[in-house]
Amino acid sequence: MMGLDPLPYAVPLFVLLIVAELLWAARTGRSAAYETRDTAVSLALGLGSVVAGALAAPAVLAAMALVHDATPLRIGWAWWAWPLCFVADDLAYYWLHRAGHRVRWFWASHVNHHSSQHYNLSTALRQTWTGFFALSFAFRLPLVAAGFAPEMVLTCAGLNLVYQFWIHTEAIRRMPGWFEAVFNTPSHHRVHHATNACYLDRNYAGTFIVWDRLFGTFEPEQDGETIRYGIVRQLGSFNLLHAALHEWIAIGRDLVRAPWRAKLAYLLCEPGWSHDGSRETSDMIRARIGADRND
Amino acid sequence: MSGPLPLALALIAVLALIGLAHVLGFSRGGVLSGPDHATALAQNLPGGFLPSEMQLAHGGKGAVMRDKQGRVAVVAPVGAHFLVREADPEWQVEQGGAGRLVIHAADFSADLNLGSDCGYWLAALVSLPGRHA
Repeated sequence: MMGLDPLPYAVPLFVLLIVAELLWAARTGRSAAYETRDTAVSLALGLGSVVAGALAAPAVLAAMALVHDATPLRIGWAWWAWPLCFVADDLAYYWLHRAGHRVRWFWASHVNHHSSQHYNLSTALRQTWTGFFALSFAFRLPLVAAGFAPEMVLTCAGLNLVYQFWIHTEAIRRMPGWFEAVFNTPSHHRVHHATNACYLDRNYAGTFIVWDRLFGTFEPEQDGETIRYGIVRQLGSFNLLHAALHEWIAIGRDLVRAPWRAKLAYLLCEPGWSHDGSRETSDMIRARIGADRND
Repeated sequence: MSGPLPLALALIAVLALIGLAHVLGFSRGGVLSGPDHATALAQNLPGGFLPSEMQLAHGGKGAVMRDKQGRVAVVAPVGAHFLVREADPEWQVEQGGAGRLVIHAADFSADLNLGSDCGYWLAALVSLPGRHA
């Protein structure tokens, strides 16, 4: 095994950068940049996700090994396999992340990363506890089937996650043009975390923003648009368990109440879908507010 | 890197960061900048919400609004920010002392100081269709 989980090694850097951002926010009078209870929930979710990930790791590795054993393809550990795997993994991440916003089953796992109304480096650590339960790792199985070693895929996935830490900040306005064109940046990712109608379900990229440009989901940050972060239906408390599990509970409630013909749709349709039209999906919100602006 | 030590260190770091955030003063509540702020927040309610009348709570710490269809929405503080909900007949609502409208819902609570208008908005919430006596 030549893989390595880079996440534990990055934690001290994460802590130092959060301290720096806290001091920057305090010094520049950005009183709403952080909120103590919100930060506590974000960091606790991050800590919990590390535990959940460690518990799930043997099963994920076993599933990947199963696929790896079944495929005749072997890419091996050549140096060029690493950048290739990183790019391929980032493409897999794009689709995983897109599904995480467009399929309620995956959204239930991913929503807690978005449920903070703050956008700071602690938000980056607001990670899921239920990714394994949602079977999110399945999006990376095609890479293993293509011949990449499971350990290499998981290492690249870890590096991708580490990359995404620094983009969760308002301290950086724009990166140089060439960088903004290729890479995911704080500007691009602020759009992704916004609840403004024009920004909903945009910029799914992990490391390379080119996937969004390629697949038609890119939206640039507009200078005149004040961003409101969070989710369309904001959380009403700082209860950690509620933050971690509220969408799963809501799914359960909908499955009980919905007529039989609609039950599966509550799992697989986009968040906001309802059989009686009482809720709105992001597309519906965008269409309505776009129509209002055109009136 | 495995075992309980890294986890214990991470926990200590988490507690230190929470403490630092508190010491630096990031525990203040949010303030609505005005009616436009509350209106913008209500935009994402299902079907949209364009208020025809609105009462900001004292100090901008929330708002109550009604649209032309008679729907009532509440903007309630959550930490440094706010949530908005269309009023639900299932909510428990009552008038607290000194013009305070107190709401207990399944997923949030609010205590809005509406002053002398509190009774008016309490009546609006109590008279919602579908509300049990």
